[in-house]
Amino acid sequence: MTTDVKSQVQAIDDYEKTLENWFGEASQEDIDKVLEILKQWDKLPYSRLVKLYLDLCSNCGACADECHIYKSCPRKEFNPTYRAKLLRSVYLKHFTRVGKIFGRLTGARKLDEELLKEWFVRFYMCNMCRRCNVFCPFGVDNMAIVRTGRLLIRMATGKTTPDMGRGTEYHLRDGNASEMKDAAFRNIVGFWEDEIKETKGWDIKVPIDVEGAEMLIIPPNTDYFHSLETMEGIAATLYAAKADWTMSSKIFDSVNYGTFYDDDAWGKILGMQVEEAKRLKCKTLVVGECGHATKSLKFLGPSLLGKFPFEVKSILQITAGYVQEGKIKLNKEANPEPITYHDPCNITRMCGLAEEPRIILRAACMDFIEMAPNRDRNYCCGGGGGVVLETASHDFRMQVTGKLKADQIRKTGAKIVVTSCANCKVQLSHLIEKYKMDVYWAGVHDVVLKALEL
Amino acid sequence: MTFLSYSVIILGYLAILVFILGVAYRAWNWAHLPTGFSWGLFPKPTRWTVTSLIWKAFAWPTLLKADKWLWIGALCFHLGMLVLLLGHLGIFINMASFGESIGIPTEASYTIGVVAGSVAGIVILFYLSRRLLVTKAKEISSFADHFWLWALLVVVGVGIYARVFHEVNSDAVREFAISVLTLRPILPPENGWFLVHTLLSECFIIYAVMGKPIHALGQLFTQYILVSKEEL
Repeated sequence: MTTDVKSQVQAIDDYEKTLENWFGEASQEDIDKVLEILKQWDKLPYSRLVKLYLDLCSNCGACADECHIYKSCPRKEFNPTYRAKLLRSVYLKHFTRVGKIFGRLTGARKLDEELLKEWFVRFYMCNMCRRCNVFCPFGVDNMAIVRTGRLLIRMATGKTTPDMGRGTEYHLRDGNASEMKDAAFRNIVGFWEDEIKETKGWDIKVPIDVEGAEMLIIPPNTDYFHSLETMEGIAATLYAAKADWTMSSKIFDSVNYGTFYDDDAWGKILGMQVEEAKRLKCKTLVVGECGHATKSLKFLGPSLLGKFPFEVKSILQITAGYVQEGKIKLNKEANPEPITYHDPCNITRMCGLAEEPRIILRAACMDFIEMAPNRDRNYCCGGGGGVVLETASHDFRMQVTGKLKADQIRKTGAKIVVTSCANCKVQLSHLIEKYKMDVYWAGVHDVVLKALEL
Repeated sequence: MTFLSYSVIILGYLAILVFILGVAYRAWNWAHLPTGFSWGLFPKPTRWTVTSLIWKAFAWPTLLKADKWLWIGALCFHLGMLVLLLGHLGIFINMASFGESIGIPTEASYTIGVVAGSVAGIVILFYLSRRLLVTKAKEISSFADHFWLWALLVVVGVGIYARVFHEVNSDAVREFAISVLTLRPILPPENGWFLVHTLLSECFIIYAVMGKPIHALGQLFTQYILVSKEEL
């Protein structure tokens, strides 16, 4: 075994053990509860999808080579179909006649502690990127199955991965996932303003809690401590375009970890965000550079809570609109280095925002290089599905899920890799550090900030 | 022979019943469940939803990118099966004279049937070898996945054998089929291989409704989710 393979195996083993420890033990009561919830299948809001997927998949394996995890480590356990089969086997055993009669022959398995633990481990190792869905001849979406599995575990036992669970708790308590208070928020907003003053020389005042503003901007929490320039870029863009906008001092975090595993928390957090937009009477709720929040607010939200009395848009749509209408002036020469764009799964595959970031980047930089493959065929960065939220997943993300992405970035020869999702930014920053790549990471609006002129 | 003949009649009725009710039940079962979230996948067709649905459901454009050989195999198999199914309409109408009326000589229609059957059979062997030899398919295949391939292989194999070596009088089959449909069944033609093929086919139809072959129907639902419109 080469050292590469050895460290990969080590990383997988370690993370599997960690996940097993996080799961701990499950009682018979927990198992009965899972089955009880499954019995009331019809009440799950997306039961049609999942039932179809469970009924149809013919285990052809066409998706396997399209999964970035299986591609960098072709183990049975990482085969998307194997993962889906963990749930399918229980469905067959407990809820279909064929499975009850023919048992193991159909692949049916009785749900026990061992299997429930395997659910937890495998479902939380999936990036939920839905690339397998693109290539499935039957249109089977393994992400929906993985999400259902996580949801069942959560509903029956309350278990999830610790950092994500804590983030959700904080969010339900404080209105944001990182324990930030009003003062801290205002402090960072002040910092953005100072930075813009320093780099651009513009006196910008970020509008806070303005009722009746056209747009309410909610960025993800990482914009407050990890990718600060992104929100500075957004503020500067809106200032340059003379937009009527505001931020909220109560709900200033667009993330919603419930999207990854818990309908209940998801709905509650969505509700908080929607209520705030209603209170401020905005016409458009604009989500910052965040993948899952865009998906959650734009597409899933209305089907969970009913139609919103305002529009939901991504900041990418707004800025791309400004570029096309000529409302902002961008100086390409401010960004002479070759730039490539990483398509976040949630932004491109699930929200259809493939061209908007390209419109912006082509206008804002001299040398734009496409990654291969790109757009809806792009590989996940390796941090999707909430995996990046766990500190303990670092080695697994570096050695397994993010390996292909690192190769992809290297092949472009770009000096800056740009993306428009907070989770991707964290993962990309880790990858660059780990593989000692001669590359910087940035958000779309970081690039815009540099090129912006009045 | 009489036992076989009666079995063919009884199972025939059962197969018709199971097929009609089963397909209706499964479609209803899927359709009445809530779809919930708009969990679509982009890019979406901007118009021509129905055309895109048909294109995705019957040409599997993305499978071509994922697994070229599987795509070629699948296309040959399904086209072969389609030709076979059309050929079996001869149970109800006189295919030889119909073929001649559209310019296909009787000899040719015989060859077309055998070739289509052989193509389907060869692709099934290819499918089976994938499940036995290709790791990504082997490691996830259960007995059920092998079973329906073997079952279909036997049905098609017996069919071809009966057609080539023990050809049954098609007028007699037509008379029998119509007698079954008009609920005044007469005994089927006394041709062992024909009876075995018919019996196995009836069993397969019953299985198909409950097993994986139902993907033909179910995928219309899943593909629809992928092509249905969402506002950006």
